[in-house]
Amino acid sequence: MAFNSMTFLFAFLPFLLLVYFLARGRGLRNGVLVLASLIFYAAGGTTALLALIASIIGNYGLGLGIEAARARSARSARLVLSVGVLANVGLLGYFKYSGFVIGTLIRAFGLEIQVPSVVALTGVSFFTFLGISYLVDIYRERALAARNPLDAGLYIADFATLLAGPIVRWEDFAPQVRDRQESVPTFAEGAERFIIGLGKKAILAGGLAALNADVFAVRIGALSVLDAWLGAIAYTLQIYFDFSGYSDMAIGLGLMFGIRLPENFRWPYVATSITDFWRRWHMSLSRWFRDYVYIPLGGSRVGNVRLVLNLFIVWGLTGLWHGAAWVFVAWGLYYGALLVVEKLVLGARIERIWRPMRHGAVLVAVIVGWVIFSAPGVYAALDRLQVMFGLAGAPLTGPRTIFYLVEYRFDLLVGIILSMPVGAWVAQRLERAGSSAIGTIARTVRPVGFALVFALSIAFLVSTSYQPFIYFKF
Amino acid sequence: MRHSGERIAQHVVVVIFVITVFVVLAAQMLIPDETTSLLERRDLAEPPTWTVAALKDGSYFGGWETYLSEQMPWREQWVQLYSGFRLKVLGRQYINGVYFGSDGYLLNGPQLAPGPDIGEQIESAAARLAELNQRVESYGGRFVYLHVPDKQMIYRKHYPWYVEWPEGFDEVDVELIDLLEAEGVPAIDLRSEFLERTSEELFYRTDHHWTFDGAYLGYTRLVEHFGLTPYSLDDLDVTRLPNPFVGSHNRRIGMAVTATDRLAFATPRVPVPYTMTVPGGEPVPMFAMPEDPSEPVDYLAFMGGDLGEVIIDTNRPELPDALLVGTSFTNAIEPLLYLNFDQLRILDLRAYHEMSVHDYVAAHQPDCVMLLVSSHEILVDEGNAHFGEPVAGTTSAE
Repeated sequence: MAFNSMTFLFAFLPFLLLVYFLARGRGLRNGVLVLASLIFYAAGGTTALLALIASIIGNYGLGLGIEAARARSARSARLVLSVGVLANVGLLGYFKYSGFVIGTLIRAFGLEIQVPSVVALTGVSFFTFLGISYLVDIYRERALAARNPLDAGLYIADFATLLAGPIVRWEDFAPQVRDRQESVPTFAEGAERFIIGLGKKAILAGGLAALNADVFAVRIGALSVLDAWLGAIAYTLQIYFDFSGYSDMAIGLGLMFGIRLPENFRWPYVATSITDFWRRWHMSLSRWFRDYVYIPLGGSRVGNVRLVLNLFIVWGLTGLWHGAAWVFVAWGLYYGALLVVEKLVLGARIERIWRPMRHGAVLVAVIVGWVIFSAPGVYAALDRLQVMFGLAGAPLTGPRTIFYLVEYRFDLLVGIILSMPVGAWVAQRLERAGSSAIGTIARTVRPVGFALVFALSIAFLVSTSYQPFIYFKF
Repeated sequence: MRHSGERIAQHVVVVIFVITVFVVLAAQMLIPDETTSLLERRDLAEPPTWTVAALKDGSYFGGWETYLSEQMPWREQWVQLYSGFRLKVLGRQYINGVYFGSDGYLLNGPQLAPGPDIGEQIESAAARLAELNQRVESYGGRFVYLHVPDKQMIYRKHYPWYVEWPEGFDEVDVELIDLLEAEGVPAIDLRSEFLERTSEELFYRTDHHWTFDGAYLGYTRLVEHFGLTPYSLDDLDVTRLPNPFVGSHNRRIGMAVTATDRLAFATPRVPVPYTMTVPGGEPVPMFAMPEDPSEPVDYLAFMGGDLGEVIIDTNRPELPDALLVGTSFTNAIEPLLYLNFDQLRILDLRAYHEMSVHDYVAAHQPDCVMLLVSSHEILVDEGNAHFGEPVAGTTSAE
């Protein structure tokens, strides 16, 4: 069940709001949220639900186990942590990567074994990372283990973050489990954030997805250079609005129930270096890898050889985390390579490069990255890149180039503008306008704007189910 | 510190948000479900059935999503809102495969370049038509292929300026007609005539079908081909309905355009009695026109829509029998065509599967056999361009 589904918006959410705010007491409200989260997850199939429940119970027990073991010795605690981390990685490996690993072995060695049929677990990458965070934070004594299994359940299974993050650390979430305050202003902030996210995902990402689909529906040999760039730029904007929109919705939902989730995006396309980009894109994942993989490996305080190795390990894993396919590994390693160049070759000199040039170079690198990411395979990605860089003998423009530019002009223009901090800048200026006429007008128009975005988003969602038949007769 | 006006604005947003989700939920529960969508011409989803297997594999909740989407209160208005937004705010001129052309024309898209195997497709289509022609000639009948151009061919000037027509797009029809001529297959090329009359309303502006005027032109050329005299407009009473017209292109965009199209039909001033039967089906009227002038009407008003087989008998044995095979374009021509024949059989091969056209022709041996298929459909060996295997004993050597 996605946040931008009719079932969520007009069945799950109103029922949950009703039951949650009728419930009295923190324990009962947490129980309502956990039960709702399990129902939310069960919508994808009850087999997956069993794995989620196992993860909650397992991590809850292991968390208590780490604390109990620490009382005996640090080594015991580390042993329990290791078991826990391995269990979470095992869960992720089995449900997400077993088919990929066995398929790769079959191809590499010509083995005659069958690829196991494993139930796909939506969100497994997220809840296993939460499980690891839970155990490590307890081990590091950043937070106490939950005494009530519902508290651990709320952290691991919270429907707001279950399917696509943000990946919140247990040390940040734990204080909010028992001690949070729902209020009208927080709910209002959440509702606004949710509508912004829905609008980003439905209106902006939806329109850009149509351009990207239009372009790449054409066989690669018929693509012109400009078409390929337009498709890639459309995807670059689409994935940003889609993912950041979903994160906005998650953050908004959290706020409605008094939970403040970490930010996940901070205008990534204004980055002036690749390091900067990853400080702005999917920030909660970057933080997770930094805290739980990169720093334990030694981080940057190691020799150059070890640093290169660490970067490639982290980025190979980051790529693999995004999907069980070699194309994702290639995408991760591509960023690993860029970061190696940035840290070891360019170093501090990067700051001396003219800022717009840095910005342009990062954008091109990121667009190339998304071409790899979105391609069905590594070779397909290379084919697209060859067209984009004029290496495939494709013409500069094609018969559809003007069509794309004219039809999608507003989607591209609005997409580019809103991918920069223009909206935030305007909002800030209006806030400063205070009691002036402009401030008053802005405050009056604001609810209308949100109502319009909400209505258009719903209209978009309804339109996706509108499938007229031309010939069918009753 | 937040301005009090801002707090009020935020509270208004909360009210809008909460009211929307609850009102839609309440409306979903209170408003009775629609079983069919007239605009989409399909059945709408019902609540899913609960089974352990469906719950286990997630299809149960998937069914709820489909059901809630399709039974969304005020669904058509939501679709219109989004189409209007794309049209008027985003300035789109291409939505759901439909171009918004000049003068209110809604037009087909996209314009795809002919594939690398187009030459083979043309040859194959010509060969299939030649086989059918031989089959009809083998018992002394006469065959003709009425080549109906696509609306996009005729109203090209109405397309947005930036639509480029791929290389070879126009040559396909010309090559097919030339090949048929070379092989001696009788064909009426309506394309040239329609192209000379592009200022006339030969096609609806918001539908892909031809209007009464277009159909009348096709009718006269068909009847003349067989040496018969078509009914002149003086012999017909032409009725133009005031009802709002629901065009196929307009349906695809949720009726976002207010159509100026009007459905017209003709009846002979001197009535020609007939019986109309639908083998194996319920009887249908030749014209299903609403009495209420405010009720919407669409192209399905002719001949009960796309039926597999229809037989019209006029009990005038001095006139020839005829078979008309074709797509929905035949629907508007049939109420005219039966006037010139003793018996008119009509097949729509998308719905008729009893026997192949070759077998049907062999079984009924109509004097005149007419095939009416649009230019892009004839190239693919399926639907109304799939005539089946030639019946044994119909080769030219015979």
